[in-house]
Amino acid sequence: MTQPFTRRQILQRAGAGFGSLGLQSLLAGDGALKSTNPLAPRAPDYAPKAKSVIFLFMYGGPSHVDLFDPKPELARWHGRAIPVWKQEDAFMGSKTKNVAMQSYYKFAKHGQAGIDMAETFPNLARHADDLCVIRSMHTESNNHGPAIFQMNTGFIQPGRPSMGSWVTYGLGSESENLPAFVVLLDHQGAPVNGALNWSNGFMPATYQGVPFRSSGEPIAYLTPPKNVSAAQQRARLDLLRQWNTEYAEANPAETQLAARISAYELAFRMQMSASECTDLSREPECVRKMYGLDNKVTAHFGKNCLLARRLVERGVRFVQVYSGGNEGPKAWDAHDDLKRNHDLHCAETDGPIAALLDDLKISGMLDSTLVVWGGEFGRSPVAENGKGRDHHPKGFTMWMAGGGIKGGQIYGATDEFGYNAIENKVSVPDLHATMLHQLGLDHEQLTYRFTGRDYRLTDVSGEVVRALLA
Amino acid sequence: MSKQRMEAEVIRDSILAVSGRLNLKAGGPGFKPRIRADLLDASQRNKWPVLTEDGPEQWRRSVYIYVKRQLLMPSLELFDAPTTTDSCALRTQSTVPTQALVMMNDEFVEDQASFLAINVARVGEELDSAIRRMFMLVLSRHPSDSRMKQALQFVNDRARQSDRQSALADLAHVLFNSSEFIYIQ
Repeated sequence: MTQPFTRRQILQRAGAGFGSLGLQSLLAGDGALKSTNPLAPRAPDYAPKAKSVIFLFMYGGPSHVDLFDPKPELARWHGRAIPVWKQEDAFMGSKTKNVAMQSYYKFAKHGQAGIDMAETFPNLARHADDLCVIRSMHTESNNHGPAIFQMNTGFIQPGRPSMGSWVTYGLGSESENLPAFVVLLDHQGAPVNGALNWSNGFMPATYQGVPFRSSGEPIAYLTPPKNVSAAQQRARLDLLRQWNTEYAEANPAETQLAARISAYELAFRMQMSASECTDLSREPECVRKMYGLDNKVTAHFGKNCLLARRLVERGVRFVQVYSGGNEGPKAWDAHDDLKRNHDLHCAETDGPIAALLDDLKISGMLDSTLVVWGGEFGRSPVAENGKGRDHHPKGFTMWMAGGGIKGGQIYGATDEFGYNAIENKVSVPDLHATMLHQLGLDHEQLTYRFTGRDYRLTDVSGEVVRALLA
Repeated sequence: MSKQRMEAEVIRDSILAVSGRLNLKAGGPGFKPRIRADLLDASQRNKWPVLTEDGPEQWRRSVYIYVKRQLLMPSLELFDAPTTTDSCALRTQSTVPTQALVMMNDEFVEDQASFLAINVARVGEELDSAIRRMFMLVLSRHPSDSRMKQALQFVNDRARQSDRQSALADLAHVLFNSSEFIYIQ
């Protein structure tokens, strides 16, 4: 017995068959299909202050009370229980005791604005008047995975598009030859959950972050296998273009076929220009030195900071630079020995970040480049294992510079122990809303429909923090 | 009905089927295909093996690929294979340059193109019939006269730079990348 059609087949054919004929002409009419390039530049909601973002992600959670938010009370309470502490906030359970721990570092006020900074940032200190230090950040999770997801995607669950994807979706790409959203990893490896942190989530794959590798090929499959010569590849691509063009011309209604031809052309251009962009030997010796490329401690992060500047210069929209990778001491995750951990990670990043700000300023790019510094959370004012600090989401510090942000100010405050953010609290969605605003995007208008509802980077909350804007 | 791009797994399985290397072994534990060593950054625990070449165990159908939450197969991910954390009612069908890069430069495509060239050369000494056989396998149709002429000229040109076998592999590589193969009527 033959079965002509299943119910599903009938629905599919009737639905996508006749129905799509009508849809095709509708879409062709309003121009939705005319632009075949999902990365074509799009107009923002209003005039943007910033064109690009460099997000310096201090993975693991830098300690706010040791770096930007000095708490003399911790010295007075050193070794004693503080009244604001709650067991449920501790990630490491009973290893973390309610015993206040004073900072290992000396603080000083810098710049005309008198921004408090620890002695671990001798170079960054000269940029004090560029920094807008937010001391009242708070986030939802005290666990790395969910907290990084929230900082990157707005949600503590995995599977949502990251901020770089939202920005690319909203604004398209300014670069003909490079991806719009680039991720630069620490030499210690990727943060926990790897690629999910720069994922396009439920958006098309076009919008995902492209991680550049710390060594070897910067982009996946950017070079042909070793046994394939340049001439051989060119010969293949020439014949391919001829056949693909004929095929697209024979099927003019299929816009993806034309898009495919331009995708191959961009891929070929990327093979050339991405390697040009990542070749830091093209920079003068003094610039390489300024970023600390001649010093073993700063060379890696310095290289990524310099690369970030070169990418932004070439129109890349969103660059995320990670400091710290893998787990524990390889990141800013100072459970065991805060001083040893932060001595290292501050030394690795202080010079390069100062050089990046100098460089952006000299080249006039700081005004249009929003630089953001911070981790997924801060560290607890109380001790773990005697000399370390546990994760702490209830109050921590981030800073922004450039991109139309008002530098030389401290915004918000934590309580006298640095435990809870209490004044002018800034949530992660508030931060995201503010960042999108600087790029000319209204966080309430920037939506993507998925599983039957409109999603936002900021979901159902988030306010632009006007006080941070220049 | 508009043309549909093959899905990520289907592209991979089709290349294997056409090259003659598809291993239809069913069931059993999943396998970890070769991934370029420099793409394994994201992986920390339960390490992915670094393979310099692949073999029958890696030529099984894509449905048997081991799924690691934090390391999607780069070649499948680029062709819109969904994440492993959400249900997916409908896959996106993107057309991006990074797909072109993987099809142009992945060793997997390169190797399978060579296998297809070996496969079609078995039909005899005639270059014509080898090319005809290749078109039938990849596109399920005979080449038109003009295509045949272009293909012959391409293979002869390439053969002068290397040898006939490698030139046929070049042609196979072009066909694997062609829209006519990637899109289903």
